[in-house]
Amino acid sequence: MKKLLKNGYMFLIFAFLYAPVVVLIIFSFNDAKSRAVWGGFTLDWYRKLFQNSDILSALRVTLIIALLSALISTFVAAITCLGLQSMKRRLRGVIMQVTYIPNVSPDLVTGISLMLLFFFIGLKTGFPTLLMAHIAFNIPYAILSISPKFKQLDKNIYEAALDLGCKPHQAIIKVILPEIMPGIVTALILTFTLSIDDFVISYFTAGNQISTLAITIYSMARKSVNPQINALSALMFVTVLILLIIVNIRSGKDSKVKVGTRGGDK
Amino acid sequence: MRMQKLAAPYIIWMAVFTIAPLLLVAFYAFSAYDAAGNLYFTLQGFRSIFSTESTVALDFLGLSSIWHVDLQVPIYINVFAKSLSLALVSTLICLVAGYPAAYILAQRSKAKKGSSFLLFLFVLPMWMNALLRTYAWLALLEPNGIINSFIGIFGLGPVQFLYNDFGIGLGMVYNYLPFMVLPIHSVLLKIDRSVVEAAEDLGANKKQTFLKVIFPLSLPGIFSGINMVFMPAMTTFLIPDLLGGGRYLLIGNAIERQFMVSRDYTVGSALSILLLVFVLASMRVLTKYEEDNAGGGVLG
Amino acid sequence: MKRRTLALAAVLIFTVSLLLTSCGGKDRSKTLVIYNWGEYMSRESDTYTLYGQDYEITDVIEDFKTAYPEYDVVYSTYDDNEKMYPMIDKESFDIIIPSDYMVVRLIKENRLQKLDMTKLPNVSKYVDPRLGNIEFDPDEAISNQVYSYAAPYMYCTVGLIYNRDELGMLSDNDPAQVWQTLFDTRWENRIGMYNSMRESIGAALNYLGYSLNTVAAAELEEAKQLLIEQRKEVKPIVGIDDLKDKYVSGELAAGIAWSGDHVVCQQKLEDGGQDPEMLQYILPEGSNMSIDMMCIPENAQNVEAAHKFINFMYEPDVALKNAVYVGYSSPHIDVLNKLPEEITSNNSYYPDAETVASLELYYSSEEIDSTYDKIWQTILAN
Repeated sequence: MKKLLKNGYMFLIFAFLYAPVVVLIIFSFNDAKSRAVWGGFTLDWYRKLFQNSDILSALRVTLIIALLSALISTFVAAITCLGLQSMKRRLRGVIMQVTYIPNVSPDLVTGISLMLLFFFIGLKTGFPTLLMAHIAFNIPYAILSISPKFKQLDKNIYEAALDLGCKPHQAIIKVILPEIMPGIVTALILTFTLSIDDFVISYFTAGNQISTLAITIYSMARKSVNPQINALSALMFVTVLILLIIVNIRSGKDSKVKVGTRGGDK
Repeated sequence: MRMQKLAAPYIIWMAVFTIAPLLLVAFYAFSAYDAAGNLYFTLQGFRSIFSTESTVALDFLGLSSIWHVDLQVPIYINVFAKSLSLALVSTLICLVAGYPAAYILAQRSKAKKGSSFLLFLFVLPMWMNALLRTYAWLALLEPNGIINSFIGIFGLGPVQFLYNDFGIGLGMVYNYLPFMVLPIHSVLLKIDRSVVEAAEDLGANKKQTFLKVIFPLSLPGIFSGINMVFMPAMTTFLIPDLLGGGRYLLIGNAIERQFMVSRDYTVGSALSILLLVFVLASMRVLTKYEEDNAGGGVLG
Repeated sequence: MKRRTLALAAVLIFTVSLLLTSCGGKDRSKTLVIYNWGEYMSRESDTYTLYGQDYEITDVIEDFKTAYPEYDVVYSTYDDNEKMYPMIDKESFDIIIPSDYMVVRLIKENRLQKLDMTKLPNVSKYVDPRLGNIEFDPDEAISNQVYSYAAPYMYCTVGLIYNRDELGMLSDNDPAQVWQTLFDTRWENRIGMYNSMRESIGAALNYLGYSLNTVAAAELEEAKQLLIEQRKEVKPIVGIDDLKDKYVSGELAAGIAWSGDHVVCQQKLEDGGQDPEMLQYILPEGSNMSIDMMCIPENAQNVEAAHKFINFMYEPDVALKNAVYVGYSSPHIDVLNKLPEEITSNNSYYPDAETVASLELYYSSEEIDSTYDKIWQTILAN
């Protein structure tokens, strides 16, 4: 009886979570513009989607921004962690506190504050500002993914490498880098996903002439009923599903735990 | 290792992209442009937020709409109160609905020694863009939507689900429920089996064990869950925008409008500062509770 | 060794990405940046059927790029004049398409460039003379300047769209009669309102029998209270482009509408195999007529291409495709001859001189702009 209750409850929760997703996917094959009537099976919306130049260019921007911001922020985070390592504890504490700020403040405020910054220094909004904004909100996440690996690092191995005749840069590349590699991979995946998923911060910093996928979807969703959105959602869902499965098979639990660190509307 | 210098670029970056922008918000809250384009100091932003020139009946937790209390307050205060009540109610619903789910998930995970497939299924929809998930509800809830067509078969409805507190609240609960479940789940997962066994050995029944041992131990998870739901619910502008039928102004929309439409950076910044202070303060309070409670815990 | 290659690769990617960022922008002198209303230009290929006549539609921007392959086009949209206005300072557009009163405001503020009519032979050749004598501003000097800064794009009237099956046929065009539907609690949750300042306040003023450009405090206060009351009691759905689908699906029973949106709704009904006559449109006396016009902002960076584009939009076949897709009234005389007579002879879409005289345009002045904006803010916050 109790088990039935529990299963029933979980069923309801899962129905709640999946109903909209399922509806979107089913209606992406619906041969009618309506969101309520079934007009037969079609792949038209997928075909139209791949001819929609707005969506395709938004997809390109989204991927380029995500890739660049993931690479840059992970790179910066890695060398920063290297530097933080040999810093006095107090100073490091202060820096980490400030690093947390974008994580705890609402996306809305982060987006607006960056927009004001660009406005204040007279930078026209566009690709560069969008990229900078994405790097700005990604770096903290990258640092938080990489810094634990440094904590586990045995400080003596670097010294040992130097003693054995390595030059400092060789020691970093040959000794430290392999040790922190898992953190770097996590950071790359996490920042890449966060960047793709972000709407609010992009919305305030992209300006009018370029658009990310999220912004395009937003303006489409606010306009008319457009089954292309359904097709797009279905594709994105399946892509994410495949990615997650691959990541899970590769690295076990490591990346799943990270889900909980994502915030709000992103 | 002498590599402090490697952190220097980030410190500069942080000064420019984390600290300066926030200072700018504060700066713009107190300044405006005159006709010649020069900035000057002003309290106009805060003054227009608290201006009593045009007032409405305060609608905090249904004060005016349900209880018919007519307490006139400035319009922005009411917008703030409306957002706060929606965020509070949604957080509460997330907690009430999410706790049992977290509990059951944790039991499953424990049985499987680690995170279960069920947990994976649970977080999966979260990886879909929040915009799309919210948009999907339109199709379900519209007056001619799927749910209404369904209950129409039984001669019921159509029920107005959308463009009201219900629709917005549902959007919030849907989007933020996992943020409540995950922290509670991970705390429950960490509770040592021996603690529970000890309670049972000492003669506690299931109910007592839950109330006296498990629930108090899960409080840190609850607090961080509340934190993670309340903040985005309080500041969202997407959900009221998509599910509010265009006539719903919550504090997030009000700020977005000031910046993107009216272009009144002074009022917009003033509102943002108030919101930020409020949200951070309430987080602070919660974190303090969390620490106090975790202090005496049995957890390692 | 392998690691070194890896590191090298990382550095390479980093520099390439930096390079990409710095030259991410395209050559601006070869790019035409257009900022237009949403769903206000033909951007797809399809066949449209209007009153039994078939029209082939193509993406006119693609057509432009084919005709002028040297240019790249960046196209973005807004859904409200007031939303467009702040953006033209923030970014530089080559073409914007604001409504008449906004054009006047921009002219007064020196934010527009004069058009070089020698580069726009099509405009002078084809523009509809019925638009020649319009009072854009109480000040005749300004009114006369408008066409040297702007070329008409489309125009429309503002009236009530309604579902005939629910409201029956309306014939009385007395504004108090027509607009009362908007304030009738019988239609709770089923009225559509534009998320647009002048249209909302204008309809309320017209209903109350006042001028659409009044600055009398008492009259405006009355309109404001009426709209606040409406938000509380009638709970209208507020939107712009999203409303059209809601009229078509029957979710909304009636609402304020630009005449062009009514044409689009009827098209959508026909597309869905329904009776297009289900949605009717009535133009109240003394309501608004609005003309959206192509302009070149002061800070435009590609004036040459902008002129080519305006002239291109006046090519007869382009103008026809666009008019069929957009559904709004075309200012192009050649298009008038090719559209079905049912549309062009409809006085609500293509008002004759007498009707034009009975309609009011919105005016723009500092006083009007700031008082209306204040009222609108209060209404929105309710």
